[in-house]
Amino acid sequence: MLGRLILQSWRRQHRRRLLAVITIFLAATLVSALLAVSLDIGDKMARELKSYGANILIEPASRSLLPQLLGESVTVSLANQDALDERELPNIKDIFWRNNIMGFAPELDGELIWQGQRLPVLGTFFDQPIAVPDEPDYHTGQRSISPYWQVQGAWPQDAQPQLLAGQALASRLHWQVGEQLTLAGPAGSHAFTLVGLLHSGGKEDEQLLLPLAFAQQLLGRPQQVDRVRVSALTVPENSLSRKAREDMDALSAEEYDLWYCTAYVSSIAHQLEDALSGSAVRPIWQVAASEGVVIQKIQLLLAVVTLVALLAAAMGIASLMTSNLLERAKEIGLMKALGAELWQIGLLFYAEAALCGLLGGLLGCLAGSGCAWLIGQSLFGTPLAFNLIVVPVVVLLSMVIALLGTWFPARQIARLYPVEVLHGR
Amino acid sequence: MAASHPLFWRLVSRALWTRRSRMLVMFLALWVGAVIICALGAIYLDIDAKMSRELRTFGANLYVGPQAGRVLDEPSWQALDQALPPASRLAAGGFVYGMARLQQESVMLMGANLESMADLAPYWQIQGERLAVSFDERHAMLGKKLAQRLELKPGDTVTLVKGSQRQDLVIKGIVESGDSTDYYLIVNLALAQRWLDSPHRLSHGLLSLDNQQGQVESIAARLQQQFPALEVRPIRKVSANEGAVLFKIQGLMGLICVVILLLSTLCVNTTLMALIGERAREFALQKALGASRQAILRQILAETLLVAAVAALAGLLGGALLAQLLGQTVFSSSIGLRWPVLPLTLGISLLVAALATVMPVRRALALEPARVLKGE
Repeated sequence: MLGRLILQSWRRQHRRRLLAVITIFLAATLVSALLAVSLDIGDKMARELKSYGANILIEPASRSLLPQLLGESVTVSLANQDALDERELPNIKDIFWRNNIMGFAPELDGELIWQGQRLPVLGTFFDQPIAVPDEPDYHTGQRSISPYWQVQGAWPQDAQPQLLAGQALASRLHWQVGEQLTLAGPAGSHAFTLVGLLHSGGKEDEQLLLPLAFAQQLLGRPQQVDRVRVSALTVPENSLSRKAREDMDALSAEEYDLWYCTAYVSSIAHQLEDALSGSAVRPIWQVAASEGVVIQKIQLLLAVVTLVALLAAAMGIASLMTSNLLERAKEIGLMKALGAELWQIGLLFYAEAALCGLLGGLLGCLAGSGCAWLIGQSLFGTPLAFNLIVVPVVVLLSMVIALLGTWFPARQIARLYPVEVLHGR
Repeated sequence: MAASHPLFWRLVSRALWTRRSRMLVMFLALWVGAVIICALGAIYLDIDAKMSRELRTFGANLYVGPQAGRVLDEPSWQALDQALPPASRLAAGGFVYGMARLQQESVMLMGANLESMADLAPYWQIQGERLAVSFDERHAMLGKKLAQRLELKPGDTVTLVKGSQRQDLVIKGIVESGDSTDYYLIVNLALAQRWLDSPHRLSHGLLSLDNQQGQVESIAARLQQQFPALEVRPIRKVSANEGAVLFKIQGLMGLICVVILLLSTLCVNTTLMALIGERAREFALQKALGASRQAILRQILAETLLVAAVAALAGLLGGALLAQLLGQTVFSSSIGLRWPVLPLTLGISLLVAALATVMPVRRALALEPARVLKGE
């Protein structure tokens, strides 16, 4: 009987029912798209913020020399001391969070002589292929971790004797791109071609950059590396990671596992420290902390906007269900006059509402995933991951809201006398 | 038509009054739509200003130093600071560096405008307290690496030694930043200049400028021309990215706003269509009594638009409040309301209402009145 009633009402008044389904469908589309976007936005924005450069610094643990200053000539006591081993670098891509390592670049400091002048040099990877187990054609270097570097000319090839000169240094020595320069160091000399000028706004503007292998050879420091800059995808810091940073021993076993298996910058740093012998790893907080702040802001913004849209969608559905029921007062009066029980009438309307909610919700999820895909594609060039948790949440939500929207007017109408309603009051 | 005017308004007002529960539903639907449009519009128009403030957490984006072989003194630093467009300048601070002796060993001393460090290096991870007043000469902060080497913690005292002079400093906080700051003893600028016997000299200065339209590059170029004795350059790591990231965020908000706008107006539309569609019988009766199609359409339109206008105005009020609420929640500051929100909200609300009226009424009027009245 109930099934027949519903079927009849759908067949006879398909326009009205369709309107209800469409409304719920639109609201569900909106909510599921927003939910999907806000669930995945942290990851996507983290990738965008990688343009700020490396966020983790690996140095030898026993380093005591003072670092060079920006624009200040402080004599650096270059006691040739502990260094990292270049052969251990592939270990960086072998930690638990290896897929979050976007790239890294080793750096070796030194001074080389050009026409009697001592020039600060930096040996590094520009775009070096590295043998990593899972990714056969993995290559990394400054090109991937310092996207803000502006190079006039070309980037050097790692296997060629090519140089990149900081623009301040180049303009002081009147160098042009294409210049042939012979550099001498404690362990020999070599002729290089200047292929590009670097504009970084940092201390690299005063340096001469060359491939790591040549720097090691000329400085007589084979396989040695002074520091490694790592760019890793991380999640914003929270109270757990702050606790871990202050005192790791204070963590309980469960907290430790959770911390270790979350991509906090501190847990990645911890794993890197284990992977490279004799290293001290620390986050570059200018990038790491600021990233966290910005990502959290965007997540919060989206969460709040989603909530508002949800409320609006709920009100939209509820108002439609109300108006839908109000116009059927006559039908209810007739059913009552024919002897239908209150619960039977209620069941009919609730079943209808639930059906509308289910249908609209399911279709909405489908369209919502399409919307999320479109947003991801047009903004980030990659589709947003559509978290499947969205589907049950949205379907349940649309059904509950449709039922609630039916409940309020149904109670009012049930109280009416059939005669009054049928008469048209 | 003059004679029918009183009748027209009576029809409208009667319809509004006798069907007040339906009208309330219609009003609510339109109101919610208007609130959403207004609030989202306000947030979208203000998002770049808000997020560019947030991106300033990456710290200073302009470097000022002396040209090779020269020194940067405080008068020229101050002159440069004065020459900045005041609207863009968010924070500025001078720094001086040098070696100093502690009782234990030699350390690098960093003198800084401590009150502007919260803006120039908001990313400092501080254990203990941040020093934030510029005249404090009794306290200092310590870089983390240095603190580890000297085995000091907040609350301990270090003593600067120079010949027979001594200066006790209480460590207020340990700074971890992941760059060279980790090796410094950080004190107030005036104290460092006195201690290093270099009064009024600066090693370099850092500025945090508003970079909403990428103006840092042009400001740097202008200052460089104005002060040829100084080296002024944008810190590209920070300045070059702000524009790109802002663009992304604005694009994201824009797309989301469009999706919400589209879907919620459609939602309002369906509700309105349902409400007006159920009155088919009434229109049929009017038509049977001799009313022209235009007259009926005009009457219903007047009714709906009246409700829509009131709802849109109320929605503007609600939307402004909602925008403030969201602004306070997310950015802890109020959202500026710009004028385009007003026509946007009113225009969309009225358009939606008009569209939702015309469609069902036309359909109802296309049918034979007798059939509609009979109830088929």
